[in-house]
Amino acid sequence: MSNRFAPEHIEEAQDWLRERLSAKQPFALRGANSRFHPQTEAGATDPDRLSTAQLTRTNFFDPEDMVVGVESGMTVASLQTLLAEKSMVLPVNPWFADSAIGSAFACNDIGPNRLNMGGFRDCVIGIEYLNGAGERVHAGGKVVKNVSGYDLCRMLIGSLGGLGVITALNFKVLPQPVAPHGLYGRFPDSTWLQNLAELHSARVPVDWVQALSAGETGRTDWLLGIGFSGNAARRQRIETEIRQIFGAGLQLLADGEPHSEWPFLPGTDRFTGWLPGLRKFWNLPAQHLHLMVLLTTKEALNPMHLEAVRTDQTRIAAHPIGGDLHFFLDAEAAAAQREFIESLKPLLRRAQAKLVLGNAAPEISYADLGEFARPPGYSLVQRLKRHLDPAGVFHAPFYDLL
Amino acid sequence: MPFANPIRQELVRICGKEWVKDDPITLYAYRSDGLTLYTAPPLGVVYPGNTDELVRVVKLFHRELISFLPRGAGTGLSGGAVPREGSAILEMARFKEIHEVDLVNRTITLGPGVVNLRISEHVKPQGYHFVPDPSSQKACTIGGNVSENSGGPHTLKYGVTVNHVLGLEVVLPDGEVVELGGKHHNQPGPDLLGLMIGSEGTFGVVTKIICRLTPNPEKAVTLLGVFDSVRGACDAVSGIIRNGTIPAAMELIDKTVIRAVEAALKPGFPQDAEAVLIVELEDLQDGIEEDAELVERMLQKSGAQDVKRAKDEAERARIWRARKESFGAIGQISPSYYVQDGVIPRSKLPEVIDQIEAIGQKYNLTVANVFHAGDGNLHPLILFDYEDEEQVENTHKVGEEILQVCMGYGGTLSGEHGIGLEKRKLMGELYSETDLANMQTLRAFFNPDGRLNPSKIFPTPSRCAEAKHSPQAIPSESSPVGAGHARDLPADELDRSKLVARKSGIAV
Repeated sequence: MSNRFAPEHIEEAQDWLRERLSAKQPFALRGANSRFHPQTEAGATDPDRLSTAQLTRTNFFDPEDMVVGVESGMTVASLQTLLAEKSMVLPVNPWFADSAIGSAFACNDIGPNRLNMGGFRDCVIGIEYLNGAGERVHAGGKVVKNVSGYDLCRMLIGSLGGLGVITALNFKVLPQPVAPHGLYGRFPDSTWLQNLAELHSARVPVDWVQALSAGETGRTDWLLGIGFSGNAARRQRIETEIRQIFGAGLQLLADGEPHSEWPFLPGTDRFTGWLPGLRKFWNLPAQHLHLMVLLTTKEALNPMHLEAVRTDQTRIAAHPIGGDLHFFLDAEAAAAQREFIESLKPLLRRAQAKLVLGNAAPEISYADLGEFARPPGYSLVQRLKRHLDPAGVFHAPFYDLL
Repeated sequence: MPFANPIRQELVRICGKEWVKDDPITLYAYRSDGLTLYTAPPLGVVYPGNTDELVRVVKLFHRELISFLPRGAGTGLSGGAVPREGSAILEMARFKEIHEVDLVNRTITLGPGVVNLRISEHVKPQGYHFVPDPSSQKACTIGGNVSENSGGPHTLKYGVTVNHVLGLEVVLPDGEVVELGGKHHNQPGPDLLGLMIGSEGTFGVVTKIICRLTPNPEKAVTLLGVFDSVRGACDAVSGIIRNGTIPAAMELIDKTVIRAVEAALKPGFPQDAEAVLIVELEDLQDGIEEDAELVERMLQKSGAQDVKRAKDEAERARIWRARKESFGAIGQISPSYYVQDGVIPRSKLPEVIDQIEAIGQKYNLTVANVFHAGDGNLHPLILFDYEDEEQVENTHKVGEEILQVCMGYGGTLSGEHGIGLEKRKLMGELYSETDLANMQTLRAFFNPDGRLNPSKIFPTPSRCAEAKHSPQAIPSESSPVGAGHARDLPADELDRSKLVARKSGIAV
């Protein structure tokens, strides 16, 4: 049984890290403990855990300058609530609302508005972290433009706890979207992708697009939502263009208005993630498989990819504009999950896709993802890990892939 | 000192005779970038024609312990492309191929030698552009933009270079070729692409770039707020942002620059104004008028004496030409100028502008202001006479004190020009020793021998050494360099370079 330490102050985390460094004792990082943490091989277990869950202070929030700095254990939802008090928003909508912001950052979570509003790379301006020597390091700052020295902030995006302990983050934030609305509709098959490709080609400035496969076994239809915002004239123009391409059958709703078939509309959820609502909508078991598929927009707009994946057991959330698909398998058995992953591989290879595990049976590991877990330049990534963590204390299986 | 003969012969075998140059005229031409204060002749200049040639050249330099650096158009303003320690220059001008335009993925794949403005021109017929638009965009290359993480006026709404690059091919200092990113918007693992961008040519040599393309706005409305004080214009900036509007650009020009650009370019700015604020909105045609009227009201509420609107595309182009060529126009009113680049929290603009003026007055120098007001990214222009030694000395003091003020307000040393040689000694005031050591750990990873673009970004003990050293030589500052190839820069040569630079009238 591994030990868990959740310091209230960064100094305590630093002392704890130094003890591990002197003993060369690896430990795993956790935020709010909301995430699945794959191992390198099936059966491997986590060592001791350092949790940032109690590091939840606000370091500064300057609405006039549109910047905020918080400790890394603050949840995404709490951060968005803080910003909303001043009608501002962090324009990244990671999927896991209850994740610590440091965890969402270290996992480089994104959401349906990646192409239009950006990801963590587009809004991080400063960072504090504990490095592989136990030192407290600061990089970046509180201003929205900064090229003074190397960008250690961005280096730690997606670092999965392997390059340091992120203790605080500073972000550039934005005013909340003006009068956000969405058009929602049901489509009998994935031909909506052709309409979406047309919309993309027409350069209609939508805020987000999300399509969900139907929740009932045996059905092959889709729920599509397209979000946009702005003053009335702007919204009217966008709505007209969308309807011209998709037909008149879409229902217009302001954020927060209810929809008979879509139980978890945007509004607050739009910037804190839809995942809890999706899991409920699809009635997914606790150890379901959730694969995040990263690919290009062009590949994501190919209907063949979605059709090839659909079975009675699969559920899909698609954000094709920006190349982000989420495949869910309504099965808890590791064997079924492995079989599903294997069945995807030829498709993924053709599409040059990459995979990230959002959830799975405990027996599912990085080994099951194979080449699809490794980014371009992976050998360099591995060498960098050894360089920055010479004692090997930051347990992060992602860096040990063959 | 040119290349040693065996090295030269091998370089010629790799690239061809016409692409290896070490004659005095070439060495002179490549002795500085856009900041001519810091000059030093290179060992020689090599013009590889493709990645294969470049890799072979880099491996040769690696084997022979020759320091080297890549160079784009040489428009940088922080001395980042100055060949210290007798480095050889890898001139990237031949990497100017546009490999592919992919409109579905909204990407363009190109060589680092492509001129920034050329990218937008290339995809204009399809209705797209590349967002980062530094004032030097008619000359600067995308490779240089990646190296410095360049910005420009329109980064307020859309972000800087790092927000518009998705993939890189990079040659590391030992010749290894790595790919980072791709056409995907996200990849698993740490964002080494984000780390590489803005590393000022000290991590690797970029040989291929995948850039994002952004749809051209259907309509742009360009407003010109006319103010009787710079402070009033600064207040307007905060007011507009506070109101929840994010214009595509908000650029402030003070009366000194107004005078200069009117003399040079005649954009029609009111010459009795203390400042003008250019506010540009971009969006769909539908609804933009409503937003523009809102901004007009905000400008008036903030004390604008007049708010003008560009009537047509020609007038809009005149306004932007005046803004982008304003540095050059300063030549109309001053023999030379020194452009600074600092960033402050936007809400502190009024106070900081007052302090900058006071610093100028303290040293009896005019400090003109033209800057990216929406980002809080200042570009004070310190006007001086290059023949006046005291003014030259005071110019440096003013520049440094302005940066001290920026840091004092929680700002930073550079928003888009980089640290290079110019600001490295101030890095120790911005960051702790631990913070700097961690950055240097990264340099040691990518550039273990320090032979790629040495002496940049970090303060070194040599600052003291420069003052204390004998007049014969300025010592090497990083790792040892190969016998007979690189050398210390004689101090008298540096002095002569400074003189020539001053006489050139370029920003010293």
